[in-house]
Amino acid sequence: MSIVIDILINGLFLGGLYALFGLGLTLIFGVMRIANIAHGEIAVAGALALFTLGGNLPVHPLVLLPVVMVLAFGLGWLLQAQLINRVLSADPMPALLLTFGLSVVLQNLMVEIYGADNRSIDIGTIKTAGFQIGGVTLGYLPLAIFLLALVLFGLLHLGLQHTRLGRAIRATSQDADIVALFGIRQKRVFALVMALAAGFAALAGMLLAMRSTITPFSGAERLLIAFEVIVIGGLGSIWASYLGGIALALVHVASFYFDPASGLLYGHLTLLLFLLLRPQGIAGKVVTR
Amino acid sequence: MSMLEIENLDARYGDFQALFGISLNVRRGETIALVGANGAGKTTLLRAIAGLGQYHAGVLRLNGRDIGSASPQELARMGISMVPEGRRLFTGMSVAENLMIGADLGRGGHWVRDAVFDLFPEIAVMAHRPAGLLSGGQQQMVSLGRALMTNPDLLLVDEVSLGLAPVVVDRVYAALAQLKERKTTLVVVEQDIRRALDVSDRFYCMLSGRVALAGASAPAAFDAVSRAYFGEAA
Repeated sequence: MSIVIDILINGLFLGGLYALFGLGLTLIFGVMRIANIAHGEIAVAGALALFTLGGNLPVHPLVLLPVVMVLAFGLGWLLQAQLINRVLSADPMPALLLTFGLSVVLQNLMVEIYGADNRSIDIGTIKTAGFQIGGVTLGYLPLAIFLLALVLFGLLHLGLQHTRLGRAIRATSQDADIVALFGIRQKRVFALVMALAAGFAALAGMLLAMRSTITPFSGAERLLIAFEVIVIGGLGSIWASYLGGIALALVHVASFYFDPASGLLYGHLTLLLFLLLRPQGIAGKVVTR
Repeated sequence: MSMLEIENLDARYGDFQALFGISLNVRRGETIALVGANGAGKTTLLRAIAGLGQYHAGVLRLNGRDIGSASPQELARMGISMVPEGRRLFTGMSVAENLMIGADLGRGGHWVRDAVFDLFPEIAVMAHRPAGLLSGGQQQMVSLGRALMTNPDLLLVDEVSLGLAPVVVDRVYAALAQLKERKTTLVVVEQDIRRALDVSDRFYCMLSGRVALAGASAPAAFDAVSRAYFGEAA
């Protein structure tokens, strides 16, 4: 019984981190109908940027999280405004190829600067500290990441639902052509969405590097996790990504318990099952065009 | 002085020329009907005025100012708004939110949410319902209300009767008549000649991308407009 509770709690906590990986991708796809293949590399770049800053500044890495998020926000804005917006059209292929090219460039740049070694961000004893409830050990860091993700999803939800900017983003996601009649500059909305997505991706990358290790080659695996999160959760709502993150994490944690050699296999099988049996995901909306 | 002046406007989609030397003018407070069959170029002309469609030759002026290079966003801020064909609501958002998108432009004026609900009490009780769940007629009212919430100087209305039951079309046209009484400047695209002549002060009848006939709207003009509409010699 305690194994089941252990799996549920650890899956839930890891799900918050997975949800953060999926969040940026679901925002981008929801608003621009494109997939950002460089999403994983941006996450890894965030982690490596924190590694560099943390090694050169006399402050705790946790304090630098918002600094790197702001830098990633700027990078995302710049990429969208200066590159991706130029190739956006009814055909998603040029944008897809461009972000694929960006992923290759970013990965090679990171290998050039950091080499191919595994790295982890040292945050001291918080990383392994924990407490026990009813015979189940809970880590402070996983719990904090889960709560942080929950708070960020909540804030984003409030921003999207109750602000003028949020209305503009949601309207653009539904009809990017007609919003121009109401003074909304679609390409600025796209840049804002890409900036937010890059900020969340960088945060997810940094948190992952605190829990585990990363290399400049980790981007593809992170992108795959993000894709699985949004397919399993479903499109159309950020909370669907949250559910997708938790569902995928539960599968991963359970498979590590019962079949440690399987790696991410059961996560991929879950993705396939959803594509076959419930392509709209757990909470996604069915879209007909 | 005319509020909107168009001179010799040409528009193309690739190799296909949709508009040929269109010239027209709209005075402040006037209601203009653009009538014509499918493919006559009415929507292309309206989209060019709103900045949504490109044109390749000619001059567009709003209040004497050349607006040829203005983006749709700039035109919206200058006071041009549009009720697009097919309504094009943000269907996942509530009625109130659709209206707020218009208000977010920030032009200010008479048209606030309550004023729209006074014009269309039918949608007031559905303020928090997703717009996609409304009937076609209710959606058309929201689309009109959303455009009004921008407090436009010039309102372009594209085929409001399309796909609606006659009784619903009557209701929407009654609202357009109210707007006309308020001296709102309107350009109404319509295929139904009688409705177009009833609601407007002047008409332009388009045929194959050209203005085939123009004049004052009056019941007596119906036969002449009908002939022009179908390309028959006057």
